[in-house]
Amino acid sequence: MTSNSTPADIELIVFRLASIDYCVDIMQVREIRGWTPATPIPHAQHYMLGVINLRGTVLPIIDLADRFGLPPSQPNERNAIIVTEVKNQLVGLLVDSVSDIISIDRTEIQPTPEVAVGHSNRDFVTGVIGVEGRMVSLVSIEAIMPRHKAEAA
Amino acid sequence: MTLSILTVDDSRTMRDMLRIALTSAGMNVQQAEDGVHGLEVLSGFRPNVIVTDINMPRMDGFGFIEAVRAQSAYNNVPILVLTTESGQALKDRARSSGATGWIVKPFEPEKLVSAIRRVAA
Amino acid sequence: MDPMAAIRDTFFQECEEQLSALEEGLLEMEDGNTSLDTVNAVFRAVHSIKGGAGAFKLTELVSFAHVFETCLDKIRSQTLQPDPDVIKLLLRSADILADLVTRCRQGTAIEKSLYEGLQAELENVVGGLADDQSAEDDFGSIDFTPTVIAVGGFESEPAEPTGMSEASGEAVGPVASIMFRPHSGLYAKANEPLVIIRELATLGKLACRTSFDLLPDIEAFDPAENYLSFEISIEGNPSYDDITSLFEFVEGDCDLKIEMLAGDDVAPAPADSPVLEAPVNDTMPTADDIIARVLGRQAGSEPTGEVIALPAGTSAVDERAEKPVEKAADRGTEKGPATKAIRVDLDRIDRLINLVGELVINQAMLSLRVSQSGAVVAANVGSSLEELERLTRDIQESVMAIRAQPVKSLFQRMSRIVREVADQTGKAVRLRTDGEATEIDKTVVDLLADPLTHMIRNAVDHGLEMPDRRREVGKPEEGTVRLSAAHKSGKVVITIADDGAGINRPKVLEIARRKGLVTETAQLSDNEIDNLLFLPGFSTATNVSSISGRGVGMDVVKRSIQSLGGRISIDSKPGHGSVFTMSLPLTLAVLDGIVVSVADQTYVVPLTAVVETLMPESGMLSSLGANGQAIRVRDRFLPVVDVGQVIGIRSEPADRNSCVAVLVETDGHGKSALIVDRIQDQRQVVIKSLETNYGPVEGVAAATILGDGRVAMILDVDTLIGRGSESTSSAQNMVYAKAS
Repeated sequence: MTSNSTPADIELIVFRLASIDYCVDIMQVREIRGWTPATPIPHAQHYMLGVINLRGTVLPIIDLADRFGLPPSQPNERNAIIVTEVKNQLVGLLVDSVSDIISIDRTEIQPTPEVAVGHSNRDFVTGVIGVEGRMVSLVSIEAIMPRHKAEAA
Repeated sequence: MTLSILTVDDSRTMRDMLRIALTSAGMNVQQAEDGVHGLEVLSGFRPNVIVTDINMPRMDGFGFIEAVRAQSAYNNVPILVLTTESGQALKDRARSSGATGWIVKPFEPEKLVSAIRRVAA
Repeated sequence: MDPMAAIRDTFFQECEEQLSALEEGLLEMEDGNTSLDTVNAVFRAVHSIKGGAGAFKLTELVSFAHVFETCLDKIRSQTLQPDPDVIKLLLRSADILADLVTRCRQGTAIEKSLYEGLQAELENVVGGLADDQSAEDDFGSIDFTPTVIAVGGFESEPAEPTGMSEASGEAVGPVASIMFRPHSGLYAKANEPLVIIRELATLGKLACRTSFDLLPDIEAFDPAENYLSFEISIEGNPSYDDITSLFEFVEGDCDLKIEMLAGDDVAPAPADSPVLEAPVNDTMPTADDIIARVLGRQAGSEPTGEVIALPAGTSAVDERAEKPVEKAADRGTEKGPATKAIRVDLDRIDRLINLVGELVINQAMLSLRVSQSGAVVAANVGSSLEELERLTRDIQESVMAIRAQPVKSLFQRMSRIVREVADQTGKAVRLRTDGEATEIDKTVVDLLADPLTHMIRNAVDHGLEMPDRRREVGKPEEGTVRLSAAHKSGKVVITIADDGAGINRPKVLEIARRKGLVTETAQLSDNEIDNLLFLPGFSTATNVSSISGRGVGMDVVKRSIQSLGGRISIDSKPGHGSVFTMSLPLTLAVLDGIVVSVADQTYVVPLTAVVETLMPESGMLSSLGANGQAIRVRDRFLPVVDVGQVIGIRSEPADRNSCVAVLVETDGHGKSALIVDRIQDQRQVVIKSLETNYGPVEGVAAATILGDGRVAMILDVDTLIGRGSESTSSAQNMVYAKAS
């Protein structure tokens, strides 16, 4: 987890997935780009949409909805890909849309309430934040990385 | 007077050190990589003093000194031998081949320069 | 760059060259070439390393190189016979010397245990260092013993008071009285009495009288002889050492008498101090000191008066060896990484290669867009595009060539491995290498080191028999391992061949069965048995030896080679040995491939695996078992792998009426046919890593970016066929262990 806890404003990118708000730490985001068709990866997990060409780099794309156990996306031009970097590894997250960038104090991050276990996404959410009366879940990119890579590392 | 020195050594490391030490002392330096090369350089360059290594490919230091001394034009050019060993036998051999003196490696620049001045007419 | 660092770099670069020449020479000697040239070259290599090491105060290196050199000198002077045992010792010494150089370069601490044992062995061979040790002792010493007579009080010459002794205010300092008579030999060596006298004059107030006392009668006069002698006096507290050092070069070529006469009340008293002691107090200068002084800087924190006391008979080197290790280490860490022959930072080349890769992709995209635009393209646009393509290809090839490196350095490392394993196993082994100049991408060279090391170890440890066993079967006791490299149709082929017993197939089969790697009933061909060695979890050694064991099997070797885009195969003849053949791509950046379509996706089949392509006519494809297929090509039935099915993008097989068969051949699985929908093109593609951001994918070797900007998978034909044969249980009998 991001443990440089001191004074601590944290900027978050808020995005939407099946009408639910999520966010990721902006420090882990490299860029946001539109959807382009991905090339499927053989034998990959169902939530791996495939790979795209990001200016010469082969970028794997995760269908985040599928990863969270929501119905898989039917990607189209309006979808966005959030390109993130964790441990020198780039991965693109397919989301419905990016809605906002917010800046909060770290202390505002609350533990994930038990009630939020409606979806099987509790493993991927490290906490929740109240923003204008809505609940936004903070997503751990480490946790959503394809699993075999973690084993290989 | 600017002294002109010919150094003959097959080691780049040594050549670099000699060049830096001698040029810093205001000497004019030409360098050769072995005895054969040294003789070639001598055909177009008359040094005040020659400094030569012993163990070299193609023509070693002894052969080089003998070849230099065999040429009447060069039999009065002082030749200093660079050597890691200063055993008596080696010195005797250097002397008998016609070397003027020797410098024991590793050398201090001052000693090198003073040895050269000591033999340069 | 700082000149000091530059010279240090030069020194270590030279060391590499010398070490390589040393090993080469020793191997020649091992082959029986003990000509003076070879021995001299070997001697020179060690000698040069020692010389430079002395300048940088690398004491362990000097010490070890010295004994090594002494040993070589004995061989050179034919007082030591270079028999095989001696040469073996020398080769091991060369290895240790290389280790010492590496440590000095890196500035890591050197444990005595690294070289002491071998040094003792060398000393033993040399027969004690009694006479040679002196060579090391007298860095800066003068073996020069003129007569010394010290006399108290005034004698002879009345000394005139001079203004020179301002420091002490003494009226008159000690006076040196010198009698110097040059012999003719002095002049023959270009020594010059006048120069010496000139230099003596710098030591104090000099008076010189030329004596003609020795001039013979005219009949006895020899014009080549010298009859003059000089009587010289020097006032003003001249140092005795300074005087003797000026005569150092002419010792033996003159009669010389130096007398030190005391001044007023000062007793110079060199009389009771043996002459030899004085010059020994020299500081041994280091290159750092030298250059620092030359550059007019402070000579570091080295105390200028560092005294190396040399009691007769002990080694100076051993004394010094204790101390300066940390200093050497400090110096080492300040330095950047070693500079290789490629003086350009590799990162820069890689960046350039990446950029060129982009250029290639862009050029392809441009061509595609132009042709897709549908507009009637002017002829000159087309030819410009062609020109651009050609240029792009040329640039790419040139950039790739920068990274090419000969395999020599890699092969040389192997010769050391052979020696080590031979020593450990008690086998006699000769490594022969061939094609060392063959060039291959630097990354491939680097990544090849581990698998090659493992295979070489295997060849010696498992491949070769023990000497007595070899004698029994009528082979020379000394086994041979051949390592060769060659360019072959756009690839580099490296072979490792031993003349050992060959693969023990019954044993291999037995082990494979015991471990459940093959079924009890499977009938395997010889080649299939040999290939069992590459299965994960297989290890032939009944007791895993420390040499080949290490938990790494041939499966790891195979995977490494495959990850480099290469192939490996075995050929073994019982009683005659085994040959491992690796074929590797010249570069890891591009690959020639056939671009194919399968279920609307594009894939690339590496051309190296492709034998031919054909459109199956009706009747050529036939079903085999439940869902397997075979194809008949010129009366041979080959297993068929339907790419779409095996890769998992569709469940139904390709349309038999319109599909294309790509016949491929791999080391592990022989010939097979890959069935695809359509062939698009044959072209060179830029290899992009899939593992950087994702991970390894079975059946896929890497990715590439095509002209339309999309990513395509480059198929890993070998594993694809492995999977194919597994899922369809086709013509192959081999069954891999599965949970069932």
